[in-house]
Amino acid sequence: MSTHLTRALLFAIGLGLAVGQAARAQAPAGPAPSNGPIDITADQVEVVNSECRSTWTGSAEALQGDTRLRAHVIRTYSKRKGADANGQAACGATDRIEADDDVYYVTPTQSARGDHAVYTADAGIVVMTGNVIVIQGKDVVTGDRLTIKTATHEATMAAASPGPGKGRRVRAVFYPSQSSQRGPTMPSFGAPAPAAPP
Amino acid sequence: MSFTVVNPGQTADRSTLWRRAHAHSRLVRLLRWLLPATIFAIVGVLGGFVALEAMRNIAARPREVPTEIRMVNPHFLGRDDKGRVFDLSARQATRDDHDLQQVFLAQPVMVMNAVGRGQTRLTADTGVFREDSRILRLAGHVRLEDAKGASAATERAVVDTRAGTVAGFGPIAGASPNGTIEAKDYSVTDKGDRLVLRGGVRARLNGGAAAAMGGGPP
Repeated sequence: MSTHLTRALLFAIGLGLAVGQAARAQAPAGPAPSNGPIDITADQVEVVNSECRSTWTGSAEALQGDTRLRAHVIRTYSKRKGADANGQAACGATDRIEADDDVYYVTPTQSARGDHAVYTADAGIVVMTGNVIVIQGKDVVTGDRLTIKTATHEATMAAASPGPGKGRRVRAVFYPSQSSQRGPTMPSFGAPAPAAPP
Repeated sequence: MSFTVVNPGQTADRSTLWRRAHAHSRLVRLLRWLLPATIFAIVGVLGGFVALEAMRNIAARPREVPTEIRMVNPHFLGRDDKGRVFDLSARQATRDDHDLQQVFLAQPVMVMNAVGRGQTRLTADTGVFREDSRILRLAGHVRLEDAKGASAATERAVVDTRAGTVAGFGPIAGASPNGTIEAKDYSVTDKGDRLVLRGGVRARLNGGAAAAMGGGPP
């Protein structure tokens, strides 16, 4: 007989790991160690074992070193592994993580803000939508949809209404003094920081 | 002129008779009151005696003295709804004299899934086990440990030995090899399916576990 309480606590910790994993998925190279401890705080967390789901609400924040993921609500979903030895629903690796309401992702060199973000583990893609703003140094890029491939650190910003004269478009401001050495590029999430000019 | 000769002896007899008769009447009058009064007095004394004896009997009636049934190092083996064995033991168990279904436990130890894989062990300072509902209420330094090295500490917990679930409320701190989690309050509902931690939820995930979950970016 296993107790639901221990399983739920383990599940909560595991889903906490998932939140930290989402933070790392976007984490750029920096001083923060990738295997350092991850601290997660929230006002409340609800864990539903049968649905392999946990919901962190109330200024939920995952912090690893200098990397921070913050949102009002963070939901994590794990894959089902069938039933365990006791016939209870077993949950496996992280499947999907959603963040809502003022999603912030902040590193020492970059920061991104959006209304909504989804991390899909299998695809290795983070999609941030809704008034997205990416800042690296003085460079600023705004748009409606930011897609980051965590494996290649490729980031794409898109507008909800493409085409000239269609309202919101992707806008960017690059400062030549910072960008001239490498050209105007999107802030690259997860890629090594460019070497400082000699 | 005639004279009646009166015999002085006859006059004396009449006077005596009259006095005797008068005295007899007084005695009768006296006895008319005295005898009923005596009867009433005797009845009163008898009634009082009976009442006094009744009170003495009530006072002398043997009282039912509470006798606590105590067991030292008791073991209670049972099965939950799924047939899994649990072992409930304690340093001492005392059956409630007023509620025979209730047993008070000192330093109880509950081992769930006692003969299977993945044992879970609960300890506490005190416990109350109800035999009719098979609910165990633990209080004071409640500690829960499972076979995977995870543990949780709280002040109160309720174990449903039929369903094999643990629920409770109050501050809780949990730990596993992967990290720790704590909150000011918790509740378990839906037969253990839903766990809610409230109030300053804090979790710390160890570095090794964090790396094992996918590691950092290249």
